[in-house]
Amino acid sequence: MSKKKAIVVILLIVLLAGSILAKKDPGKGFLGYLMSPLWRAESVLGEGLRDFLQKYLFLTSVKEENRLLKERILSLQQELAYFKEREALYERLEKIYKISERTKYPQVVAKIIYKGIDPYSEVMIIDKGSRDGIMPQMPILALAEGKGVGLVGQVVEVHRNWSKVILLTDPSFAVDVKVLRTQDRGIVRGKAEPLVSLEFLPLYSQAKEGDLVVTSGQDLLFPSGLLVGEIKKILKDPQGLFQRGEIQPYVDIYNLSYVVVLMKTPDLAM
Amino acid sequence: MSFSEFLFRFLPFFLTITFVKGVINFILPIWFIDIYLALALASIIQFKFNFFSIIALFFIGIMRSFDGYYPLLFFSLLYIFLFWLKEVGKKFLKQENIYFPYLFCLISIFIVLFFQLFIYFFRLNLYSITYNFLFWVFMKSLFWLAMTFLFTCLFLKTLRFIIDDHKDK
Repeated sequence: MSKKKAIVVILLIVLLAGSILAKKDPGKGFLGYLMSPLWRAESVLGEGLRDFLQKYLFLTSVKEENRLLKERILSLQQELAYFKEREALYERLEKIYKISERTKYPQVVAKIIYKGIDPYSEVMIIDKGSRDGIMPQMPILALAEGKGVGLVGQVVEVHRNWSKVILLTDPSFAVDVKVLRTQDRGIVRGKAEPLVSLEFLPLYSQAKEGDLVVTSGQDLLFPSGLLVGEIKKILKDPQGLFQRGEIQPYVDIYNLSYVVVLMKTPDLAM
Repeated sequence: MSFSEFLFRFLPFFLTITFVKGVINFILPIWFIDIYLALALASIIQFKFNFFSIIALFFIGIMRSFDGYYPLLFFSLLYIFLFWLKEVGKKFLKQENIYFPYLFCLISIFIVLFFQLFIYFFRLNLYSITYNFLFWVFMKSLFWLAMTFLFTCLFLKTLRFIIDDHKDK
């Protein structure tokens, strides 16, 4: 190998190592700014096509769904009356005993303009950035159809007019959670698959399939009580010290158009 | 690749692929294909080692870095490294051999897969990794490899059509 080529190869290796180790990408924000009109056009067309396919091509089951929904409405009306009474009671108790602290954070609604395709990471890009007050580590929420609001992910990179978000299913995502029914704590971690892992669940825990999992608030990143998902499977950990499980995220994270950024920064400097 | 080929042939094709990929992504959110790697490998095979080919790979790599949680220049440098590897490989393998491009593609996809899996397991923080999980990752990678290879062949044919067929006229 000639001296010139060896220098080029060494330079490439150094740049490659540097690009992996570097914490900041100086040109990324500007390139994202240039690309954002294309991403917006992609998202508008993509969502239009998706809605078209969902509305017109999948109409076969609508009649049956309609009948089931009517039955469901009747039973829900009965439930509603019961829960209204309970809510009134709860509000009275809350005022008297202050059993829950309602901490409200400001929220920003953002549109998803780009979804990354990578089998080993799960990221997306939203159209809000530092000029809208977004900061790294802020939680991302979304509406689960007919169920409520659930956790979607976390902001990892913020640029002027766009931000990168890692989803709940990304390998580097982790959140401290508790099982709503038993109040047992655990850690939810993504693994680049549709289901996420629930780890460090105590051996004595009575959690079972179908139990809801919410954030515990103990990690100081996410406020407590955010819906994360539903337990699909519970197994004994191979290490024998804990139980582990699989969780189906509450929000259909692959079919989202809008998300809500909770303007909450970590409670302590991490 | 000449400047006119880069500007009037490659760039419109690249932007079209990027746009179509972005649109389909909203309809089918999970793909086990790396479109950009396929396009980069097809370009490496199709084009000669010069400034504009490197710029083309640079663009592809930058777009790829937005798809995952990677540094901006990571894929650009990796693709340029693969381009250099092809130039070196030509000396050791007879290029007249029709299998050379396919063999090169397979080796390159394995190299990129190795890097991606390395980063994946580095970022993965699972306390206990089961055989089921490893088997699923293996199957996913195998499928990704096969699909990327197929798309590389497809892009190679398309690029040949776009560049060479028009050149003759």
